[in-house]
Amino acid sequence: MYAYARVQALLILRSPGQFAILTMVPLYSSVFFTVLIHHHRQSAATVVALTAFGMSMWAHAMFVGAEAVDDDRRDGTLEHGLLRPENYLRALVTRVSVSCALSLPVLGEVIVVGRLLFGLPITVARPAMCLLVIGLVVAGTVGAALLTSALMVLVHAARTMQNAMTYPFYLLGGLLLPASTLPPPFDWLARGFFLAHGFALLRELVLGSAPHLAGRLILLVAMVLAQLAVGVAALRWVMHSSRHGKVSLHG
Amino acid sequence: MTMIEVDRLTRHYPGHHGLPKAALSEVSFTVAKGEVLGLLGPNGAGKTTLSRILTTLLLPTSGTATVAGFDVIRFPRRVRHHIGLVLGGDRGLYGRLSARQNLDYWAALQGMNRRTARARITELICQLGLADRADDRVETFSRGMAQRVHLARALLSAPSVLVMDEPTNGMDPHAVVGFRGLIQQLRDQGTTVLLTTHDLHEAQQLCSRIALIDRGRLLRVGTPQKLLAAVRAPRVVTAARVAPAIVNSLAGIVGARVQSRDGQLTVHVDDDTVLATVLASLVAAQVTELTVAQPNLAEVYRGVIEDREFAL
Repeated sequence: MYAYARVQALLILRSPGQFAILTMVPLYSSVFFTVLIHHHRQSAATVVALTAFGMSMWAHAMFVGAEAVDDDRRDGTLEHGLLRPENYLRALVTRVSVSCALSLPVLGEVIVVGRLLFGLPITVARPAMCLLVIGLVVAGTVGAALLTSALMVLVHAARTMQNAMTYPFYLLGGLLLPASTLPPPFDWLARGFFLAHGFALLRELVLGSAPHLAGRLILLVAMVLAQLAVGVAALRWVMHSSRHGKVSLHG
Repeated sequence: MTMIEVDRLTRHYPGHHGLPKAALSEVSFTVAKGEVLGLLGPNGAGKTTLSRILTTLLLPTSGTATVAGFDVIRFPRRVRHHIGLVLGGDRGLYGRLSARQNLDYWAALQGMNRRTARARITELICQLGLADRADDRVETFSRGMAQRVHLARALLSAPSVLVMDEPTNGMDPHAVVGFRGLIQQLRDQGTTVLLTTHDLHEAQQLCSRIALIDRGRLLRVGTPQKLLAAVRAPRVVTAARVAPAIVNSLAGIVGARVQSRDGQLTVHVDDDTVLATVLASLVAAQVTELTVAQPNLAEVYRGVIEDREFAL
């Protein structure tokens, strides 16, 4: 696992372009904070900081994490990986997890921007519990990135699909507004989506009140595990299909 | 001992209008331990499909193939422990990583523990002449250097069978000679090699047997000598300073095709008796600048495989 994680970290560190999302999206937080101050809604600063972090995390997962398989296909390393399919699957899960985990510092970045540059009262009522939920949400996002990476190999319009994986999911995941405010049937879809559940819980935790916490945490864990299982199953299916000649090994 | 056994191997792909297109058709051959079998054929002949099936990357539609005694369909994991794959071309490595970092990753992927992997990587880096550049990024390597990293990866688990798909493609002549030397060393150490190549000289130099494949069908298999003996390619006699009278007399020999210009003579002959007659005539005429070119694999290739791209 260490070798897989190290390789992914090195690949990302040696491609500064991969940090574009992590550096650009927090800049949006400046826009959001400016709007808040203009409307005298400083009390919403913590929730807005979460929004900026959530958008960065999701976009980074879709545009960097999810590219692992497609990058390997383009670099011609996919065939060699498929010579050891079980280990390659483990490597991909580790590599995508490393990519997604690199979005965690953005949370600190957004808080620093809000507090130091804008003087906003960004406070977290239950930091330990918030960190736990954030960890779970990042793990679920790894599952979503694995699923996306599998789809990118399968579909012809991979870039279009990848672009479509951002704003609709910001809404569906309740990153911009609580998912409960979505009209039907989108609110129903959001109820089965780990991101909407996780961010609803996170919003309440930063403010201090989160009723039925244990039950909701268990539900979130189940949703995250389900998302990871779907992502791994999709990748496994891609590998299986490649052996049947249904998936091109060349990008 | 047979290391590769292929029996009536067939692979179909979906073609136009849903009709299956045969990439491989009923291909059968065996490769013994320590043998280098060259696989020659034009682009799209089925060479890569065959390589992929043998390395478990692709399933055949029908037929069987075993590597080191293990069926590639039923026991792919066992096959993978006995086989190494070397692909030619620019791709296949992480260019932003060093040779050592690449090999660390591939060793982990092959299930090697860190201590064993480190020792093996150091050994291969020294053996393949990569020691000076082992910690440089692969993207800065020449094609020949990168190809040695490809070979090092394939050799990490010390496989008994190597499948090489155009490994010297795009290398400069010095790198080609060096790389061929490495293949010869492996062959001498008992490694079985299936070598896909377009380079007929390389095939003749390295391979104990050669298989000619086209349109998914195996057309010939044999030692280079056997293939050359079977081919009816012309022997070419060239001579300098040949008097016109001699040229005219040679033109009268049945089976000799004579061309002459400014005393420079070229005679194509198909038959050994005709060849002897032509040579005797030239020697009798006291012609001393004389060469006879034997047919080579290029003639075998051109005689067996149809030219589709440049046929006029």
